[in-house]
Amino acid sequence: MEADFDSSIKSRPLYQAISINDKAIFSLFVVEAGQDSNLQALYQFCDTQKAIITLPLTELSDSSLKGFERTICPDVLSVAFANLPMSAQLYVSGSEAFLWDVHKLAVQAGLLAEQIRLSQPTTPARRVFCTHCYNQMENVLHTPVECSGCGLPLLVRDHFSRRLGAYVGLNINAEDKTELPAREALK
Amino acid sequence: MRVAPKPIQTFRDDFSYTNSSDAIKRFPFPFPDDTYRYSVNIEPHLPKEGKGSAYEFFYDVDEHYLSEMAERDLVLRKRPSSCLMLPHMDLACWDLIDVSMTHLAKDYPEYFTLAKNDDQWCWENKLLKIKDEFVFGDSSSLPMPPMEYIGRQVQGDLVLMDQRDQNLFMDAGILTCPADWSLAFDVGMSFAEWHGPVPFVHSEGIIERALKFLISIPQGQATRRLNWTLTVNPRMDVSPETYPEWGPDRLTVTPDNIAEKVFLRVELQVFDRMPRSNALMMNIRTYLMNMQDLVTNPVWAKRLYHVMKTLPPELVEYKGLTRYHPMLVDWLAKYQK
Repeated sequence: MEADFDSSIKSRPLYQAISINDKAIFSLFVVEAGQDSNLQALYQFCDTQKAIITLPLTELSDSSLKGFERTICPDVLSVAFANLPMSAQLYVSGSEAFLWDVHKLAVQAGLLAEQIRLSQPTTPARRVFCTHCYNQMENVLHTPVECSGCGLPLLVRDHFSRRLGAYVGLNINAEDKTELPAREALK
Repeated sequence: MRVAPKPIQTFRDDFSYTNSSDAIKRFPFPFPDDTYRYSVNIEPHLPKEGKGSAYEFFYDVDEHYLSEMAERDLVLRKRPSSCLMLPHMDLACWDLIDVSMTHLAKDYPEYFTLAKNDDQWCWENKLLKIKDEFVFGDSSSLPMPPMEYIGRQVQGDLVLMDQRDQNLFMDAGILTCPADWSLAFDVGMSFAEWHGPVPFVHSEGIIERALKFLISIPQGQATRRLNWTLTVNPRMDVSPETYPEWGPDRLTVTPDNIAEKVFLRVELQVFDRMPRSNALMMNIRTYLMNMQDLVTNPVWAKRLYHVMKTLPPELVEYKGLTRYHPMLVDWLAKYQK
């Protein structure tokens, strides 16, 4: 039930429609604040013991960090994960960066991959990792995008790191500075 | 024949790197046929082609040893993220130290010695004038993290893959001469994930077959394969991080300089099972040779023409050859018969 691979770029996750695991003893829903989510509806219909937590992405990640481990666990999530029974099921909804930040925290807390269900991202907006200066940008909607760290125009590729929750950005006109393709919306 | 390490040459700036005539003879030429297609071209890592060949020993220490170690130092100083390990990989790094030092001391006793007294080890590298005593398994007894310590003494990049869930995860590495992939971005990825951008290999089932093969490699049965691309100038560090520095080189190739400027870049990749951690190590040993030196061998010259001529457009693009590939085919055409 965990995200599968895209068939063209294998590192890009594919998401399936989310459904309730009614064999779980407890269901925890984690929803990104401010994003349209179908999890509230699923939460209403879920018959197991349950809880729902709504968080903004900014509480999970510190965009001032250029390091490799940038996710921080808010108290509310660490308490919730620590108190989950063995057969708990986690459902996550939000932007793709939010999904994988929560996924990483859940795995660190000891959940198994099959206990985590990620909903289709609620927005095409991506987190982008600049391969040149290691800056990470949230909410990128277009390619190329100017890196807010080093200023280079970056091609946003479909190559995705689940650990970083980010797509890779690569200087699009490194070979010839005069070449700068038109901006396209990301899908 | 095996050539002793020569004084330091550069892989940047003035590009003083050269191959001796002996280095040309022992170059691991990667094309067995006139057309190139992906395959799982894996064979046991056993000696072949006689004394002094690139395949004689576990690690090939050749005339470029000092140059490559100096280049590694330059990259690590500029980009410390070229050496990364996730926290659970400490034991695998010590495995790598054990395996590397044991092979080097046995294969090149004139350069390396290893003395063990239980956990008290004494290692000497005469080429780099290093002599250290340390407690095996105790990372605080080394002057730097174990991956960096051994990586600074072995030619070629090193990767340690953790094996779990019937998969391999690239959880540690030292990567200062990558052919355009970023350890900082890819560290922690599964086997299929980090090969995500490679064309053909997914639809043709190559990734699945390669993974099945690699996870079943037992201890003591190292295997190898060759991979290749082309690089403009003898530049070892063609990482995505430094693409703005080397990308413009691709526009500098002309019919007049193509023989000296375009290098066949061959990776001799060796895979070996680590004894304690069950991690799979990979040594990616990079050889560079320009067209001028390659065509001194008429068999290679002819084959290279046919390989380049028939290379699928997707691979021309993926390997970054688009800007000078037609020029190279034209230049090689005189060797086609």
